[in-house]
Amino acid sequence: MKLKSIHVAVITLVFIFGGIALTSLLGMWKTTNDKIPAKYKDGEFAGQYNPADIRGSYTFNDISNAFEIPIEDLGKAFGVEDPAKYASFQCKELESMYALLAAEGKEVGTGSVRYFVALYKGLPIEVEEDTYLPKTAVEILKAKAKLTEEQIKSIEKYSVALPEVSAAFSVSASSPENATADRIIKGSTTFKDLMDWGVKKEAIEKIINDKIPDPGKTIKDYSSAKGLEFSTLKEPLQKLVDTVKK
Amino acid sequence: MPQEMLNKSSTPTARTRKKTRPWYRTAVQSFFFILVALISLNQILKEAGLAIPFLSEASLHAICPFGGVVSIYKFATVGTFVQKIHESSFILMFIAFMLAVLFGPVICGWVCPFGTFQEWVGKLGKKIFKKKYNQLIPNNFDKYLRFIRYIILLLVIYKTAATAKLMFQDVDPYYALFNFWSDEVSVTALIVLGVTILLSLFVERPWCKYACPYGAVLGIFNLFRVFKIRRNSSTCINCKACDRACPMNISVSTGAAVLNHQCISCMKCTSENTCPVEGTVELSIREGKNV
Repeated sequence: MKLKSIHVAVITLVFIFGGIALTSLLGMWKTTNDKIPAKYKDGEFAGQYNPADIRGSYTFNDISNAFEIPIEDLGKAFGVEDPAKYASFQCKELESMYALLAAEGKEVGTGSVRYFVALYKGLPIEVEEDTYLPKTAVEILKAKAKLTEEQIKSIEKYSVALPEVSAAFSVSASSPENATADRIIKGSTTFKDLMDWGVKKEAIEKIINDKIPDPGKTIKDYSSAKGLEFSTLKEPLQKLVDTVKK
Repeated sequence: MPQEMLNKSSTPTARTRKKTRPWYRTAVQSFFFILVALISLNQILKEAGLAIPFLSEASLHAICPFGGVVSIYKFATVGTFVQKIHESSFILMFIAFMLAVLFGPVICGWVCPFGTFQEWVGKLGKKIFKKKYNQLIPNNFDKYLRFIRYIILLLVIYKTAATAKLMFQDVDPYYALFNFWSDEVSVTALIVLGVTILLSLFVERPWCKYACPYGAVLGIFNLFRVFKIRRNSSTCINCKACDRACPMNISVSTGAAVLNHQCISCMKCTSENTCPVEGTVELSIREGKNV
């Protein structure tokens, strides 16, 4: 059997669009998340929703519906000031809300929500090292969840105080005289950005213990190339930037 | 070769003909390039409330079959997808695998917009370097470089499994090409894109040859695909036109069937496209010795 290019063209298009059409008819074709987390497939918790599948686009309402956690607990735990916004608040908004904390290597974001939900419901989860919980969330967990001594110690260790966070967030967001607070090292920050912010080249080189390879290179890429965690360089460099601000 | 010589040779059935190269592949490639570009553009328009009607509002991640490949581990162990990946990626992955079982990496040669983009840039390179184009890297060196993409594939799968995040996005030139305006694109990905564009002026499809982890996956199907590029040695006049036509520098003229992991099923080498003797290089099921 021999095929010409017209056959390959037709078969390819039929497979791709036929496959999409067929799976759409069967309700399997999904290009967005339906805001319902996956369930544990086996083990003790089989059939229950898995908090590890909570995505940044999930609202507190989606989480409340799936995990049967009162929406007020979610809103208060994560410092959302206006109760009217609890339902529509998306997990990913936490990352920008607490960007200053992330700069210190203490991330309060979608991972924190997953952690909170897992503890609240007594479900297993793996948490990244830089995932923190607001102190308000820790208090709610202590009051409403069945936690072991070890878990209590752990969440107390990895907690941050929200009043400080809120103050810092509001300062950086609203006060023009503190515009330099925007100088936060992110994944896209280059060595040149640091120097433009007034950090001396020699001071940077002292921290990275190396010559700056290319000022246009991002610190994140440089860290990866050197086999280092981004936070290893980000933290001391951020301190340097903060010193210049003062 | 003159017609008389062919007819008087040991291959009396061989006939040459003037080539009118089929346009089907170019049409399919252009269609998918435009489709993906429009879907990417639709993401911005959607945010502005101006989404193009009837066009998917999916993200590029949701329509990339490689997203399915890197999600396999997480799906098998936890039952969920890697961040930004959805069911659609998995479905496209299976469709691509089914096509690869039949025709090999037809997704690379016919569908992948980034492969198409490199070919288009390569047309400029061909004008500059003429016959030297795509022949600039010594074969002894080049044949080892072709396996780098398998190392990259292993790294990507390991890093994605370890972090459950779409790590490849940070270096993916395909994502960078269709989202270069977005702050989601890392500087590294833009640099990789720039380097790929530059290399495409010297080498045909450099990303596909040396670095694409998805091409590495699909390339394995060349070993056992149902329809193979086969050469009929009894009618072959050894003009090596098939070798010269191959964008992946595969020596089609030295065996009976192409099993090379780099073949992208573009069919440029076939009698339909380049081979001057009808019925000599074809996509078929017939058995034969391998290249």
